[in-house]
Amino acid sequence: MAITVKLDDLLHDNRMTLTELAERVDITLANLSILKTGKAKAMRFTTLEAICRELQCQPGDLLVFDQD
Amino acid sequence: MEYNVKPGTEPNDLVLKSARGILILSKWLSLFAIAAVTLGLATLPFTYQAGLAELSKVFVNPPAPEAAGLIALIMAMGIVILLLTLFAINRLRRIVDSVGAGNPFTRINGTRLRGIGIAALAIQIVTFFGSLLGDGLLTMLGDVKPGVDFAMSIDASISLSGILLVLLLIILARVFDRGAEMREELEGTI
Repeated sequence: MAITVKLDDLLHDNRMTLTELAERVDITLANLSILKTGKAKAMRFTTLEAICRELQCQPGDLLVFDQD
Repeated sequence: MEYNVKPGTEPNDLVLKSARGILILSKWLSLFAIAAVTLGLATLPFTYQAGLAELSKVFVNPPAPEAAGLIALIMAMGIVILLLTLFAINRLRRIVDSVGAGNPFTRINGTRLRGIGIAALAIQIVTFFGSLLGDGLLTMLGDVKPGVDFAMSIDASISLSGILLVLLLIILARVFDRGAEMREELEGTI
């Protein structure tokens, strides 16, 4: 997949668990797992905004485009 | 997976309940008609002479034995039409059930609608040729005896509304395919 989701790294940097993030952004753990494993087909701006707010990052820190 | 059921499309919605009831009734009527016509066709070799004798009371010229063959062919076509109708009813019932479950936009429903469309087209074609045979049978039987109350005319033509129905069903099947694609996309959206 060309777009890689760096959620694992951001969670590690912020010392936060996926469950904790799920509670803070009000998204189910199952959906966040789909996002983390790169199985999501699309992402809403509201989701991106909530994750960036809670993890104090920019969208570019979360989503990375791989040339390969 | 659970889906949100919008008001007016609950499984107990009056329209859905009525549709389901009508489809179940139609299914049993079709099954009864298939059984009746099949029984009639199976017993035709033993009853056709009595049938031709009855026809000779109505028509001026006594019917030729070939008339029984034509009648058998028309009955066989009737069975094919009824089987196609049953096929369409069963698929429509499953679509109605999926609407009740709140998840109508699935690829299987697109396939079901396409199947109903093809069945409707086949019904149109078989009905057209059946009507031609019926018309031929009436021509073969000839004039009705004076004083006998018998009138029958068969219009062998392609039905415009039938063709429109086929087009509608096939286009609707594509709409359902696209709806299923959109639903899948939405399910992968976080």
